[in-house]
Amino acid sequence: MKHWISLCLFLLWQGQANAQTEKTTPPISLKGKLTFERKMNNHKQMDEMAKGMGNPAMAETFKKQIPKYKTDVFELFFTDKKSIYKPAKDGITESKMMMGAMPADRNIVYNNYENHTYTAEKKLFEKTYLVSDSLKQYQWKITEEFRKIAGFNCRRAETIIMDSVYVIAFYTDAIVAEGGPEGFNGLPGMILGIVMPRLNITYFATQYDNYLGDETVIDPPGKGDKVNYHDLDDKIRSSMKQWGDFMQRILWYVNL
Amino acid sequence: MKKYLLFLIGLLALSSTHAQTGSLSGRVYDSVNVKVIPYASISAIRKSDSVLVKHTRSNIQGKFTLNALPADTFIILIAHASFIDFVDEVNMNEKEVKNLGDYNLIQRGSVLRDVIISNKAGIKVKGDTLEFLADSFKVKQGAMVEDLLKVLPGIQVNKKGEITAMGEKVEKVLVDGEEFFGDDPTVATQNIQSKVIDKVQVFDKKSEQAAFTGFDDGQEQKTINLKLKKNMNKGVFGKVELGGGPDDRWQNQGMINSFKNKRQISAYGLMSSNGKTGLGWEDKNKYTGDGPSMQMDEDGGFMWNSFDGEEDGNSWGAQIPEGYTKAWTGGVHFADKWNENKQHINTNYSFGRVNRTKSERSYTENLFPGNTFESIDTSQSFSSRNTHKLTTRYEFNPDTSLAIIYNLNSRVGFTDGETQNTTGNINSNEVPISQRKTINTSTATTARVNNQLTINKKFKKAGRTLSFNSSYNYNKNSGHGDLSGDNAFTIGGTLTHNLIDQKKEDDYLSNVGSADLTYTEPLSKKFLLKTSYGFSSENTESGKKTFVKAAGSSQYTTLIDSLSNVYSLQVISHTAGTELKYNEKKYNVTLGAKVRYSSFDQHDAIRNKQYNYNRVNLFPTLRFNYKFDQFRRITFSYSGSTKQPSITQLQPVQDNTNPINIVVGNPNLKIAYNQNININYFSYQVLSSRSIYAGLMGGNTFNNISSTRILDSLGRTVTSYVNLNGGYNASLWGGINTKLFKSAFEGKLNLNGSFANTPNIINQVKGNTHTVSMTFTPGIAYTKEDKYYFSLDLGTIYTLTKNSLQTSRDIRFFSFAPSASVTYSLPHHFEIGTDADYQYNPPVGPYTNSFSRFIWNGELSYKMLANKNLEWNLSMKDILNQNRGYERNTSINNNTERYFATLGRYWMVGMVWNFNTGPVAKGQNAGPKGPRPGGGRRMRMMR
Repeated sequence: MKHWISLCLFLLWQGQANAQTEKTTPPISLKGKLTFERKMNNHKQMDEMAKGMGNPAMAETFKKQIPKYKTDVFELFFTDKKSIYKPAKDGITESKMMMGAMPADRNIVYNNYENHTYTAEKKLFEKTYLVSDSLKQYQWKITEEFRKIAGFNCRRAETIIMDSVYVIAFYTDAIVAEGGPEGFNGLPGMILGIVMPRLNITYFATQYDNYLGDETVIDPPGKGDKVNYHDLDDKIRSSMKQWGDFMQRILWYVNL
Repeated sequence: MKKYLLFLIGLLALSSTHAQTGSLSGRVYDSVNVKVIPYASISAIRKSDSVLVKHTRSNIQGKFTLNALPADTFIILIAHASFIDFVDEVNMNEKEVKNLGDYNLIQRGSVLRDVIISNKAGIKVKGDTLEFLADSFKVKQGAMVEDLLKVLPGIQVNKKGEITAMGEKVEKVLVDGEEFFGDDPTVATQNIQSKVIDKVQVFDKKSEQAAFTGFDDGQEQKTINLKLKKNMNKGVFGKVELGGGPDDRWQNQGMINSFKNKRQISAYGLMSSNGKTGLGWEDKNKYTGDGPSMQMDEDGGFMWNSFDGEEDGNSWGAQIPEGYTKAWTGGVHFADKWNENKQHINTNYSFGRVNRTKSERSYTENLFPGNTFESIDTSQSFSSRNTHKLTTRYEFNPDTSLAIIYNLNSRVGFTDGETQNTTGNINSNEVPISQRKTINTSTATTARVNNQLTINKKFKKAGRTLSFNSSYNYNKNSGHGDLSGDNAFTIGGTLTHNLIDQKKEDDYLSNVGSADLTYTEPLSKKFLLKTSYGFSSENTESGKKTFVKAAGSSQYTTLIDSLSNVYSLQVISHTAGTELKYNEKKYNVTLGAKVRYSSFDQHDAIRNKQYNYNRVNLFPTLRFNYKFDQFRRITFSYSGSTKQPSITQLQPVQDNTNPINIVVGNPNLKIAYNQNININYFSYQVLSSRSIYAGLMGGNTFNNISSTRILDSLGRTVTSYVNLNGGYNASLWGGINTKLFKSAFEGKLNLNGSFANTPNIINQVKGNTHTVSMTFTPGIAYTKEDKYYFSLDLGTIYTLTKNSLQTSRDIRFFSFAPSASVTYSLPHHFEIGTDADYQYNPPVGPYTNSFSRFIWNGELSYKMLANKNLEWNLSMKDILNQNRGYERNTSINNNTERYFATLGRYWMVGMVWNFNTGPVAKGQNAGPKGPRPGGGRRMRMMR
């Protein structure tokens, strides 16, 4: 049976490949690797942080010291049943910000679409947490706008997370795995682009590889203190009270 | 333990939701390659807020099931990168388990690949609607909707502005779902700029009744809906066009639109002296509803109507406009929805003043057994018509199951006219038989008001509906005029003069009220029953009075009985009908019949005679539709109907409008029964934009109401009516339109044939006229996006007329009518266009002269301003000055050649300015876009 599927897909893929001359994407992808680029606006980030801590003037000093944008590279390995999202080798540009790295900026996220489970390794300052829970749930609104990302024709969807952050996602139904960068999931295909204007962050896939060598790369991470979503939230709230409004922003980043 | 508890709760929750939710299943299929489609993504999106509720993938057998769907209306989106997105709307009830059967997806074919891939989702199938995203298609800056339609795959627009979509003629163009200035699609397509359009939707619009009851009545109209961009809500947009040239040639028009949410306000005005009248004045069908109303035979029926023949429209598919026309027309359009779209109004008022001067000369060969003579007829006429038209449609939907609809269609016209006519009859030895000169002046007023109230109720049980429909139509014509002239007869060498000096008064009043009730009931999942009862009452009064001067007086007081009548007709009808429809996935069959009982009560006031009679008529129908898939279908239909003799055909009065061509009625006419079969095949292939159509129509009539002619001793022809059997008519048509060699060439080949056999009685000898006409049109067109366009049509027509009275005079000839058109974009936003029409008719039989005409037009235009919103143009029509009107007409026993004056060579300089105040003017499009940094919550959701 499996052979039959592969043959069928191969034929579909072949048909498509023969007809097109430009760089092609498969009509249906059951496994592969995606490379994502995460882009953050450092200066905006600064403004928010300074504002949150009640010292807007502080931002201007720091802005001079750091570049406007920070770009990081992640990889997403997937089959139709599971996926792992993690920083690429040397993918993280080390930040020159005051307190070093932003919290949870190098998450390793494992999604299992069969069992609906989520396992993520998140680094918050000096501590590493292993968050295990069910897949995150979103109420997606589907639109009729399209955009081409990494060769795929992507449809735009929108949602609001954590009651306050507006998220624009672009997904393609050509990839069967229903994941995306970080914990994003739940659309009828793979999310290749995420834009969160309020957080000044974008994620866009830059490359698709139709080859996945060893499926064992997609294994849940195992390091860190075991927590669930709720525990982690509590921990942050209790330990970061002095951060004022900025804590809310940290929570948003951590909970992505 | 905790886990176990959670599991239990989860299970409970699951079962409880399961109790109220339904499931939806189906299969995704590629009908072209005959195979199932695995891994297609199927999403159930809640219609009200676009939220994705459930989604899944089709399995290896192409099957899918969406479980746990709550009761709601969903948009089902089926997507697969190799196929065009498919969108359908599904209504789920509580606990409903629905199997939607096969969804046929269309492959993103090689021909369309460029369009779709490079333009993201340029084309989409949404249920039975094909949708194009306007911004995905490239048009010139400053292009109108018409230019946009030309580049959409599967849509063609010809020179006259007629649109063909998927091989079928487009009958209606809506703007945001609203009827826009009547039925003339060019008002929208030629006056609205393409950049304000968001989507172009193509679908088959069913009649209101059919859409509501689910019983097809075969009255589907290919319709295009232009969805405007959301941000057209602000500001106004429109067009101003000015043009003029020597010899009093001018054409100025303007349109302004202000749309805000659901509210549309538009105004349109035109003044021209070149034959363009605009606004589709020829919407005759709006006033001739079917059903029991009396059939009014307008040709010659009422002389004062002759200037009110609704013949002013030249805008839509007209031949060469006759005569010289000056027109001033204008109108306003208003549409709005409010109260959560529960109330909806659409109203249009238009005014038109059309002055027309005509002049013509015709040669007629009249064939009677043992007697042949020729008539030469010359006439000049002037007419001036002022028409006001008001249509309103108001719809109120208190809830989704109930609709109350009121329709008003009214029209008032004032006509003044004068005709001078000279007719001479010459016998075969070229000796004059008679000569007639007349001057006819008339003034007439017509008023038509058509009110209709419909109440539609849907019941909980799917398919059960009740519909009540009532209407009241008022129709009044009144006119008066003078007829003066001289009739001269030469019989046996003696010349007799007969002077005519008459006054005429004409009144016609008709009141028709009707009401009917229709109920549909699903007998099972596949059988649907419709029953209906209707009542109608019709009162017609017709008075035609002819007066002459009383002896020794200058007053016209003496009524001439033989040339007058006052008639009243009362018809009361009861109609009961039933129809049974059998529905399968791919086909449906409808069988039904109506019985009508009518009682007629006719009174001749002048002769004080009463005619009372009753009729029972049967109207059987049979329809069969087979839909192979979205774009391939075959239909078969049979229908029978009766035709009442018109009051003119019945009334035994001489109509001496034309004193040597007298019409006499026959009160003993029986009702004719007409039956028709119709077979239609249509297929459209998206991959190759190839459409193939073929059809056959045949009909015959029992007791056909035919005319008989007698040439009387005074050289006059007397026409009367009689019931005759043995006539039939048939036609067949077929054609193919296709892309050639996978290139931008489009080829077509159309064939039309018509065959008719008409029995007749001439000078009391029974005869037969047999006519055949075949038209064969191969054509080719080439479009290079916004660079150039070229088309060539080679029309060839074969005509055959055989008359059993004149066996030696079969008329058989080929005529040719090729046409070509080229437009070419020059650098610096110049554009040049030219087109030519040629017509050749050979000399044959009674037509001793050949006729040929070559009309060549040219235009040069230049667009300027940043958005190319301003165009200057120079155009010359009929450069070779060869335009003249010509017609050949062969009927039962005469052959007529008619030459008429028409507008020849002229040139004009003009400008067209398209204006926009609002977001579109600043070049902001709502088209596909990337993320909006810092973006607000501007969502463009799927409806």
